[in-house]
Amino acid sequence: MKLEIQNFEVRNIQFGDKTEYLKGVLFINKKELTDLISEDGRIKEIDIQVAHPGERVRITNILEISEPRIKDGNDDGYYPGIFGRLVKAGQGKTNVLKGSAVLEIGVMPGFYGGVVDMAGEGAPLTPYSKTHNICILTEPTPRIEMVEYGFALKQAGLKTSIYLAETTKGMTPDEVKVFDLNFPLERLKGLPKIGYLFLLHSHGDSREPFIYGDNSRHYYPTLLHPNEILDGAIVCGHYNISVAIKNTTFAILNHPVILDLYERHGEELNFRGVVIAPEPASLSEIRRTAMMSAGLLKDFLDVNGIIITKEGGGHTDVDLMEICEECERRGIRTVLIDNEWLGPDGTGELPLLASSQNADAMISVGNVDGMIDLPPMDKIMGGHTMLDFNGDLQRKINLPIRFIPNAISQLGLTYLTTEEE
Amino acid sequence: MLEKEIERTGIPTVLITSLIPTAKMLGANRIVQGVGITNPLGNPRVSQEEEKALRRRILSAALQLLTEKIEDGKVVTPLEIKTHSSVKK
Amino acid sequence: MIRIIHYLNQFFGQIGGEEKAGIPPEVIQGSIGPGRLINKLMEGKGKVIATLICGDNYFSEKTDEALKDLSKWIVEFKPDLLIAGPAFNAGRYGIACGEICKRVRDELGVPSVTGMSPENPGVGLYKKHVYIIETIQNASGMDMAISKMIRLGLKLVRGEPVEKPSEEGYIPKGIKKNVLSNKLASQRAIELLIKKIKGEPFQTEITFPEVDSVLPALPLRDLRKAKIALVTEGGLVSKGNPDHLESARATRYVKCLIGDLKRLSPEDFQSIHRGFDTQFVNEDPNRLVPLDVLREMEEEGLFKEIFPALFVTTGVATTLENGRRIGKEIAYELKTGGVSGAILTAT
Repeated sequence: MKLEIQNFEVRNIQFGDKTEYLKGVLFINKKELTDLISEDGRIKEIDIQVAHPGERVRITNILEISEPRIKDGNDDGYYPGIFGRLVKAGQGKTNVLKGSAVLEIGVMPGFYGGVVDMAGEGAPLTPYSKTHNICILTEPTPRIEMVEYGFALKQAGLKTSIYLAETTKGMTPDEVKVFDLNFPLERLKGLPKIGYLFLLHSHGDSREPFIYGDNSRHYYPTLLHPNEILDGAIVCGHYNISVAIKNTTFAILNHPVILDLYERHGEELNFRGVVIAPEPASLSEIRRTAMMSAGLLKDFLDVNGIIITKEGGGHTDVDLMEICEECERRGIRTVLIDNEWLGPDGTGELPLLASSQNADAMISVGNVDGMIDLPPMDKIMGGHTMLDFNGDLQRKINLPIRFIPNAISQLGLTYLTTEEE
Repeated sequence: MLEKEIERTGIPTVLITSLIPTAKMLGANRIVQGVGITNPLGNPRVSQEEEKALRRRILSAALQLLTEKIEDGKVVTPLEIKTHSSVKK
Repeated sequence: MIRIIHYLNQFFGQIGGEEKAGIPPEVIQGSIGPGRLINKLMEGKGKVIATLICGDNYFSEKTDEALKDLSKWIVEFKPDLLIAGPAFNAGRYGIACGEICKRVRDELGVPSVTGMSPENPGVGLYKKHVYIIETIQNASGMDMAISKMIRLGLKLVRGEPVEKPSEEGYIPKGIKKNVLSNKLASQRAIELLIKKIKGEPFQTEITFPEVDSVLPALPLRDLRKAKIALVTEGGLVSKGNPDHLESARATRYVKCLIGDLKRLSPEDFQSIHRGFDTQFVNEDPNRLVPLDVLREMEEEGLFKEIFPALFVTTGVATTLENGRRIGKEIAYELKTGGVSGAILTAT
């Protein structure tokens, strides 16, 4: 399985008469894109706006973030099972408009939106302040159900990301990155064998990702090639959950643990592969999942150690700990990545909702209850108010950090952590 | 969390929850295992009668635990929880 | 020249021992006892201009009066810094030091430092609020304590950044703040794993505290005579949430009157808990609070009666402190309501 990611750098985005990518600038024909999205009758109003790094713009009511991508050299599209042909992801060539992102924006009871500042004190907390953001501002048709609207937004976002990436087909990229685990055995000999266990939230409609276009709630732990994850096999489907405790499609496509393990493959370690597993809603199922995950990692991938990440709220700390215990029991050394629940003033005594003697190596991605002061902004994109925040968002605000996508990042795409005061 | 404060006043308290590890970490003394996170005392996949029977088994175990002298912490799993029923609704 | 006020108890203030613990506050010009050590170690950068002395019992029993006098003098002297103690392992003294440091800083804006040994009850109460230099248990650690207290005190006065607890010597405040590392979490995780696999020393970023345990309450002697109460952390409220219970991070509880209700109906009840998918519970609230079956059991005579109110809070990410307080408040109502046993349901 060899994947070539072809990066086309986006230095600017402008609206124009023709949608094309020319010398680092992405031009978008606004009407054409709006018409494309309007084909879906579930979205009433659509506006496309663009935000650039460094502008004093605050983007609000952000629900999901993806990256403009497309398979090059064929008609496979992208996001297999949703917009792409159901072909195994992770091989061939993929074109990426690097340095850009597509943001789905909408308001609905039950949705938990996010906030991104493109400049100021809030900008360093999120990777999306450094991308040129194509924002799809939407309004739902009346009386539409929350879950249905989530599907509509997902389609709009992914459609946009493919439509834009199509501009790069057949062109020469700025940079090519090759992902291939097949190294000669001598190079891998003696290196610690490391795997990655990716726990995915699976608690129901609008609270789970899609795996090859399917709902992900009743499956057993399974092996996926890391290339598949880097190439669109898993897409975020969560709208009914805070941005802090879900993984956006953008983050999954740029999965930092997988990318880093690939960097070190053949040098410091032998990257043996990835297991994905659900987070079921009862303890007996959680234990079954733990047993089967540990089995795949030990008996098939033959790992010495693993990184485990989880997705979701406090309940899923139980999944994390049960799996940690089962893996350690089978001789697999574990490192867990998790956020802490310490209250707004950081004085909470219990960092997590479950614990284990075996969880002796943990990485903290920050206190999800923490607050941050953000300055007033010159422009708001996405609405001045949010359903679960009091007041006008354009002013100086004291915002819970859980509103900022990838400030807290359960798969590790963040610099945020905690420190004793 | 709450059960310890109630027990401190001398009222025996039993906690019904599916997330036993959390309950144990927080130091609950009398624990009965519930069915699932989204339905602690129910199962949407079975008939109403079966659900009520299940609920009764859990509650009986809970009331029983209130009458037992406990030394440390005790966890009771009153039934083999079937979360996947072969009977489709 | 930094102006320092020093707070001491009756013993270190050289008035007397336990028999003098009831003396009211007094003020003395210049330094006494350990205050002289402060002057010496300050090396001319600062001086104890006045020493405040108060008996430990007086402070403990008449705190507000004591603080009234002490604050008055502090305002008159206009110090740059307050140094209290060190109290070592003396409990009442430690609490007095913590309290005066906190008040002086909060109400008068004067930086303050104290010192105690880790078991001193003052630590649990004040470590969050004031800087407490960690000392050994007795006064043979005086030199070390004073020198660290001065070092930190000078930084506070000058507005210089305070280093980590392990470097400055103070007891960690138990406050963790969000900061940006220079490495991605994923990078730190992989580096940590490699160390762990190789058997090299490593450090975790999250540790679990000891949680206090409670002795199990004595069991019910006769279930048939018992009054059973239902409590839930699942956020089950009257439809429309009229009391506005929080859907996460609850700071309070609400009481739902259930009187003689045979069961909880989906028309009248809903869960507003945002930490789980509430659809099944909203279809049938008895799946979270089992009133229907419990009422049947009451009618069968298995126990005497169900308490006519349901106590509800939302357990999502509630801090331990709030959880304890809410628990105590509910416990009080149960106790005064003559409840014999409680059933608590959670997701």
